[in-house]
Amino acid sequence: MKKFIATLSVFTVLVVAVVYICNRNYYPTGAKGNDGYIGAIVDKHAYAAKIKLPRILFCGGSNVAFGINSKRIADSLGIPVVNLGLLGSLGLDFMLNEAKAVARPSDIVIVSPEYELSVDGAHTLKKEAQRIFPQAGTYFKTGLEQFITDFFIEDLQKNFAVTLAHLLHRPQKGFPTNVVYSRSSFNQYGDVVRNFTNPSKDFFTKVKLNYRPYAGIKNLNSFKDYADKNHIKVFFLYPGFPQSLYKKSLKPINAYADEFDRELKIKILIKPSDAIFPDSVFYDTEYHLLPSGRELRTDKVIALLKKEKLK
Amino acid sequence: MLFNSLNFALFIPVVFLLYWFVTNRNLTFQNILLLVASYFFYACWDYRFLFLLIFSIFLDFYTGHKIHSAKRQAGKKFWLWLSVGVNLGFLGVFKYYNFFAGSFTDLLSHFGFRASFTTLNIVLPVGISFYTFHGLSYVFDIYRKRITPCKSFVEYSVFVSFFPLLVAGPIERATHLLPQIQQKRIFDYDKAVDGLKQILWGLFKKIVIADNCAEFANMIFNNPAHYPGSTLVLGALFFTFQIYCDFSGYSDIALGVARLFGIELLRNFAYPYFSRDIAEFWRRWHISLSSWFKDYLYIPLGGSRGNTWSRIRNTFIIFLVSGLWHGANWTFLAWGALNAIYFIPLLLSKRNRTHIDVVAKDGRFISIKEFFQIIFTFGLTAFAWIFFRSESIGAALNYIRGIFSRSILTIPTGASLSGGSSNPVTIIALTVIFILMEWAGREQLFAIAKTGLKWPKPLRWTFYLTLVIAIFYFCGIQQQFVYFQF
Repeated sequence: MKKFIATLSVFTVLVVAVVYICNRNYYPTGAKGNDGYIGAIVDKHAYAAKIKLPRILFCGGSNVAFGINSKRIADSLGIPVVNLGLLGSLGLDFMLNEAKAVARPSDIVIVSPEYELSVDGAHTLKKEAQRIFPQAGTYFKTGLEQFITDFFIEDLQKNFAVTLAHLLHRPQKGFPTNVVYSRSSFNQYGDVVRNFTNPSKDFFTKVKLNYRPYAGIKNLNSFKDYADKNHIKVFFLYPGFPQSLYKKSLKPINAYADEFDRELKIKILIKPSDAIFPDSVFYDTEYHLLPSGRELRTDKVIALLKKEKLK
Repeated sequence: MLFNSLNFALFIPVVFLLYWFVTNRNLTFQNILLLVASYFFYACWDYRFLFLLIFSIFLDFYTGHKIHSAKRQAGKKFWLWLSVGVNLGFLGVFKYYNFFAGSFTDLLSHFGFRASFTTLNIVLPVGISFYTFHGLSYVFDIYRKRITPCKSFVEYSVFVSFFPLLVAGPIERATHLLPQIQQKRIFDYDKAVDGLKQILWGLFKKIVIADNCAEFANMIFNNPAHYPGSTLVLGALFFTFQIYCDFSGYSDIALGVARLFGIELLRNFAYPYFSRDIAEFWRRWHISLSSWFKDYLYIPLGGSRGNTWSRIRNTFIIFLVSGLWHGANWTFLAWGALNAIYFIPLLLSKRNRTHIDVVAKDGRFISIKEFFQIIFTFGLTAFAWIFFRSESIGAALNYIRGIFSRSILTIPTGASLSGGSSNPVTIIALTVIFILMEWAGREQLFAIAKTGLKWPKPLRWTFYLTLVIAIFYFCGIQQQFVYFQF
């Protein structure tokens, strides 16, 4: 028995060592791997760090990234704006922790989550954000099971392939930089500003919104408590939504609105019905506005924020 | 708790250490530990069905004693049929009610009658088909006086619910497993190492081959109209390897885990895809189920004795019941019927026992005849799997129609075939390597049982390490074991 346990232990240590060595990523993807859409997180934080307080921080998924003209808002209100919106799949928890890390006393945070936005998000994307921007590692927690899965499977799969590609003298393909979903599509404020061509309207037939009690309310209320303690103003903004889908999804949207009205501690700036826009101003999902749509939404946001005494 | 999950990887060492270090001096304590571990393992799926399992165990334990102690044959029969009725009743309600109710309604409506049976929203208890058959074999064997009833409820409970075999077999026999549970187990280093190797091989089959093949098989079977005939052939082949590596991988893990606890389970697979005819295939595929049906259904029906008609009837019955055992769908019945059709010519020409030994035994080279026999049998099997995998008979026929079109002569393509997380060419290459390894190890209990035993230790360990790393590296989307649904 002792021999068996000893042999098995040595073998296990050997497995861990081999995986560890493979995971060292001898040939890191470096800057080449940072040109993708998530790479914009670096620029957003760099911009947020260099502007003066107070700032307006927009927090949310891609509805925010595609949905506002930060410069116009800043010019209209006389307060600099940072658009932290990136990707809904990062999860609400990640976004709020990111906002906590960036926001300072006197800042104004506008939270605009998508309907049905997951609280946890996709771990792979959060890890990708961490790889590009190491501070992002503090915006989410990794449990033991996830840690083991990352170590033995996820990281191994990524790093082994990179290492092997280098050994075989096959450089990995970089991210394309001339597409909408790339880091270069963002302006200095964090808005997606690339000129969109050939918008696909396929998504109109596929979207089906469902109502499930929103698990993120607890996180949003806890963020509000944090903001109050730190003298940060917080507002809630519904995402822009296409008119035809709004009509089709009236029941779940109203259910969300009722729940937010009832339970959310954060001041809601707008009703869902006031956040609808013509179908023609949407790009490739129900949350991604075209430049014309972005201007329409920005007009509304400016009007709403002017009513609030932000300074 | 899946065998290929982190929870199971943590569960096993804990039970192993308690088994060999804490309870090792007392057989009863060891069995109680196995029982608690097994119930815990089962409760991880759904604790509510644990009560059904315990009830089933209690029923068979009790009726087993009653059958044995009954003075008159009528009394023995009564208790036997009580056990059979209740066991099959549960199986019928949980597994087949909706199927029969739906089919009966369809049949009546076909003749112009309107009938409405309420279909129930029933969740199938995991492993019910397996533990029901364990229990039934026990009461049948007592009735036939092959065994005497087990005196200890704990021992009998371990026999039925031993966690490696609880949810997907192998379907054990009391004559084989109970004596092992009743005997003191002594740790055997070689057996334990063999067990680990078998677990490793099972995981390789499941994670590297089956799960990756499943990704493409699902993609193709879910949208057959989108693919040319050649891709549909590829889809059928992906499923053929998925089902084998999934189930035999599970069985290997089960056998390996049991060996860690000093228990030998029945072998379930013996390289079925190297069979030279369908009869041989059925002696090598899901052996524990085939032999169960042979012993408790086919032979009592008369087996291959009697006139031609009764032999054909018995063959059809056993294959149809085997199909139905897999699930409540006409596709499984069609799969069973097709295999019966394959089998009957061999039976009638008395060539169903031509190939008993492993092909190309003692490392001899395979003959051209044997090679083509294997390819032909494999083709028949792969064709039958189309019915097994399809959602309905209509879908299966459409799939087959898609195969036998002009596009069968094109190079397999499909826009979304490259959309999976793995590359199909890589998976095909891995499958070819896997087939070669299985071929090399075809005379062993499992393919890598003796691989590298004569190699220097560093080389042998490198081989095992490569398998481990391959498992991690090719670990894609975790798929449930196919046979858990049965």
